Amino acid sequence: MRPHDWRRLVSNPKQPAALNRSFHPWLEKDKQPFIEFQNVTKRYGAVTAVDDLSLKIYEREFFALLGPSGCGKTTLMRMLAGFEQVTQGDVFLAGENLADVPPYRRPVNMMFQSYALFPHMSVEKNIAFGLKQDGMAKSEINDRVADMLALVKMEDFGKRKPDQLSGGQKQRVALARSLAKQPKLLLLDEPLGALDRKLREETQFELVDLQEKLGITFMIVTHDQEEAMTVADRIAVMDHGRIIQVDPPMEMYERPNSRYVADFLGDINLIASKTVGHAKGKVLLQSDSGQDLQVNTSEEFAVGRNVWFASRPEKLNISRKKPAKALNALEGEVWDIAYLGGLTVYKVKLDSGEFVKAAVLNSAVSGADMITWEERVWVSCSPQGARVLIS
Amino acid sequence: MTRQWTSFNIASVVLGFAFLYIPILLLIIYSFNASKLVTVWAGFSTKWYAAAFANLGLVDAAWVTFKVAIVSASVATVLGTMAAMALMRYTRFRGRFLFSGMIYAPLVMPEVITGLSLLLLFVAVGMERGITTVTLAHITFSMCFVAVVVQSRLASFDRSLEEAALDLGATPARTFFSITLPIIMPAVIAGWMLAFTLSLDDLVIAQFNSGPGATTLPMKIFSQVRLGVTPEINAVCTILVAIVTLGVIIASLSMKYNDVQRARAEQLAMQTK
Repeated sequence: MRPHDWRRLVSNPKQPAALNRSFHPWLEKDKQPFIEFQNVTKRYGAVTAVDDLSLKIYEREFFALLGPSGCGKTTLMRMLAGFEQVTQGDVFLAGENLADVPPYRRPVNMMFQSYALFPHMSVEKNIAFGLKQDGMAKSEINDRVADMLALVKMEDFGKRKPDQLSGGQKQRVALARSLAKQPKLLLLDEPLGALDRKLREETQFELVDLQEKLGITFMIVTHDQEEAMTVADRIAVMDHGRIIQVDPPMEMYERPNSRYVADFLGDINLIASKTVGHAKGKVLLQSDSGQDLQVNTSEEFAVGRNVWFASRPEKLNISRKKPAKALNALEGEVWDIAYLGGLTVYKVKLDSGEFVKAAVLNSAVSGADMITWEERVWVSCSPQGARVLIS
Repeated sequence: MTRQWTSFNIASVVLGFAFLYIPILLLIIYSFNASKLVTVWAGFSTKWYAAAFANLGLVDAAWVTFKVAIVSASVATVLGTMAAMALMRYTRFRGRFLFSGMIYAPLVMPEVITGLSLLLLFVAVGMERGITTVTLAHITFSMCFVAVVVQSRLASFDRSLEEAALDLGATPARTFFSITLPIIMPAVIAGWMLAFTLSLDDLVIAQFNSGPGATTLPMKIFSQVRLGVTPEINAVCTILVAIVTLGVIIASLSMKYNDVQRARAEQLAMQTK
């Protein structure tokens, strides 16, 4: 059976994507992973790019590798494509060990950051290149190329050379070329990095649609956290060749496992604290400046441990008077204000000397009564809106 | 920066070009001299061209030279391109630094030494000197020029193009022939033309390594000039100048054409954003 019927997709592009909200293969027990990294290490001389890393990715997942440059995310992807040899450990694709499979024999295609369109070939020839390598019949190639051009809405550009295309058009051709062979796995290396912001956001949604329609496993490498959150079913945040956390975007944002992840994915306020005890479903903290704090959590922590009280800016309230049910309320002075249109971000210097950011949604047209610079304010956070981080 | 012509500017341009071109101009003018005496002008004539073509020794030498130049340039281009690929691509092999240094060395090696060492080699292996040895010698010294030209093109080559080809299922050999080679072709052709010209006008190395029946044109001209310069030689040299000039003009026109094409392509891309 063919994995996907291209003609049907092309002729009916408006068909609603079969968004399966209960798609959590990583939670299913005994589910066979599609890609598996087993204790993979990659060294370049003395530099360790990937450090004893294990990871399972499932069929039809849209998986994002997120991290700063040099964290090993590109190396990890290039191992799947076959451009990097593994120093130690094994990589499996659909149960097959990839160690001795050269790049040109892998059922994997990659879309390159630079697009890597062959400059001496027309758009059609570029898309047909991979099909020709498979020895496909000429008429079949022509059909497939036409389908692919339709899929990325580039029907009128088949005869153009890559030099004659704009950045967005090149991106579409590169995508069409990498999908033409109907790979089992598509690798996307910073695919939207060269596009301007508006086009990038549009294209992110198109990528998600396409992935849902085609049912191919997608793996994207990016350093843009919003991009990762927009497109991915699950995100892996990497640092120094290790995976710090793997989770769906919402889980990752709401329950980061470390300061590193919390800070990499969005903004976070951190207050150094010690645990002082537990109440029902709560952990009680005392900040280093002596303020009592509490966080709703079922986790247990040893008393007297150094931890961080962590809360996102949008989960903080800011007011001139101390809120009535004052839990986690801290007093300070407005230090700086950033008006962002939809949001206003207040940077508040607490009396303890620490800075916190509070983001307030501008739901009403802003008036004269806004909190302004150097005002005394109370910043508060409900126990549900905070987390305890131990690393 | 001023764009005006000053007397200093004009003087530098005139002096510079005069220094470069007066000797060649003189040679061309005297090739059309009716007189047998090279230095006395006695009216316009093309008889020395007819004489040159009737001189079987010269025509034979020219034929030998072209055969040697075409074969040696072609072989040197293949070998030089391979060397450049190896040096640029397999960046981590042991002794790469030494090898790339050794590729450049023949560029600055005195020709006398190259010629002599090759002669010693051919004598040692008992090879009869002739057209084969001249060709081999020319391959040896022009190969490194090709390698340098191709290497500089490969330095700016986007490796992800080759990776994309591999990724799409092309074997390394197919990747080279259908992606790498077409893209670096202008550099390969430039390398061939360089090797061709080097072979065409080489005197020293040919002198050492040629034998009976393998006299190249520069050797022939040199030996005739020792008996006195005849207008016939002027005519031959003028033809050589014409061939080289034509080559340069064709090369620069084709480059210009490429530039125009690219500019047009970019314009098209802008319009249809």
